[in-house]
Amino acid sequence: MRVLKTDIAIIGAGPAGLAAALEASRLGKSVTLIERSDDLGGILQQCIHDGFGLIRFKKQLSGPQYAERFIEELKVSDVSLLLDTTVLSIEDKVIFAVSPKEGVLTIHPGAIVLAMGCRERTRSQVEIYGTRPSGVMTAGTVQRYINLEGYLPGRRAVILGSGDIGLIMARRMHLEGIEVLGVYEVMPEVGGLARNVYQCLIDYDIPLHLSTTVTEIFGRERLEGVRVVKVDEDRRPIEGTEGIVACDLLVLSVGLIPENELSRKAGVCISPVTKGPVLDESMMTTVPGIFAAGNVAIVFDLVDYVSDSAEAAARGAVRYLDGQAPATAPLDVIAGNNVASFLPSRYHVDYVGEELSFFLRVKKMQSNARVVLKQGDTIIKSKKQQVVRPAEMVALKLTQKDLALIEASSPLVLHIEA
Amino acid sequence: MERRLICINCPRGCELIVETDDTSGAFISVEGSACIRGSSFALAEINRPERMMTSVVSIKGAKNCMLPVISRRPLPKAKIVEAVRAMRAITVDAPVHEGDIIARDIVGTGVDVIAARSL
Repeated sequence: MRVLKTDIAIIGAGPAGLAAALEASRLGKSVTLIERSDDLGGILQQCIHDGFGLIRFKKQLSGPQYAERFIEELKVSDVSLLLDTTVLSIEDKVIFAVSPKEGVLTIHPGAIVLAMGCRERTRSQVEIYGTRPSGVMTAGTVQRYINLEGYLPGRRAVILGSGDIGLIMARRMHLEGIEVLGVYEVMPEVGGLARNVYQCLIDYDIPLHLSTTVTEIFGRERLEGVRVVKVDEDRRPIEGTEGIVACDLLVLSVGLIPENELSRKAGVCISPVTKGPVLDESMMTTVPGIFAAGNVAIVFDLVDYVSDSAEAAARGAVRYLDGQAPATAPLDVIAGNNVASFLPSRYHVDYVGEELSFFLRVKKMQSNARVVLKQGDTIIKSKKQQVVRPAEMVALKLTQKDLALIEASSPLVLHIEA
Repeated sequence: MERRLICINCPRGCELIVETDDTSGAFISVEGSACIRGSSFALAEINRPERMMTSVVSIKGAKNCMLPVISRRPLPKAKIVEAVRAMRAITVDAPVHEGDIIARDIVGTGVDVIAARSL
């Protein structure tokens, strides 16, 4: 059994892990990047559509192109790479991993950055009644079949859920010759970005059915059809609106959840709000020296923010190793009006890093909104936003001057004003 | 005539209201754009709509069997389906570097298709 020592161990080599590894390495630390597959870039490698990197690179890159920029830099860095290596558990900040080549590995890092990303909700999490035939799968699985493995997983598809991956896959399936019968969304509003409705559905005349859902799955070996029904405001099926759609593929695009099985084993507190670890301004969890980056922390809408959050976590890990981590008890950050999830959930007044972004997602759409961070009656920072939507993350950037307004007194409140 | 479009240049997705001539269909004006790219998008969308083309081609001798590709520039929207179909006939040999030209002048558009990653 090989035993390794490293300053910073990073788990997962997707966009978050790559950015964290490079930042920590740039700051002079020894870094070990652990990835369970044999490829770098994570989910980006199957997201072949364009639209990535507008903020960071001022360009609309495809997923693999975005990843390639980090991979090229990684090749000339000092980061040690452990591919094909699965982390089994983290105990007392010691990492236990396995790989077919090396067997069991024990890694003793000074700090850890969790960058495992997120998972898709599956059929059992949305509780659709019926038989269990093949042909029911998540949008990411369909994406993997078509873009990485070169298979078409069906001929006639129904998509449940209108998140961005579902919309992107509607277009992708259509272009590869799968008949896309429609996108069904239980909510009265579309889940993904407006531009994806436009360029993925409207461009190819793919129907979108709002306030409509799938309630039953038919078929013995292979999917034969689904029952669709309109729902009322309380998402209850409306009698007499049922219909059967014959299809051999049901694509689920019904949300993402941060993947925190390892985080739980490591003993970090999970926030019921973000479903990710409770994090401070440096992305440090409740276990000192363990940090989280990217979609394991909160499901971001743009990969650019994933990379940013990972670099912030890496800088936090470096400060921790250099003995510059905050020593005070953190203030809580609380969600106010129309805030569904947010980051960070704790803030240390003796934070010594540079500018800091608070991220939040709203519960419902609101026009002429003002995003506000408050402490008592003091407004720490606010910004106007024409419209806020659940599908889009809002970033509130605080300069050091703004941060200086925060006092070691009461909790911070993040809310949306009309 | 009034046409409503969504700008696809960034995640913001501005709703654009475009006024066109009733008889000729020519572009007159656009409202609703938060930046300059919205107006040029609206103009292009009325006269000659364009989209980027992304797809995959087969690759031999690499750890993966499919290679992601992307058009170097946007293609006329009407040519996208044909261009994606043309990608299915292509097989390349590894190694390939990101940016390598995979197909020249795809379906008569004058646009080249390049590798989106190294494999």
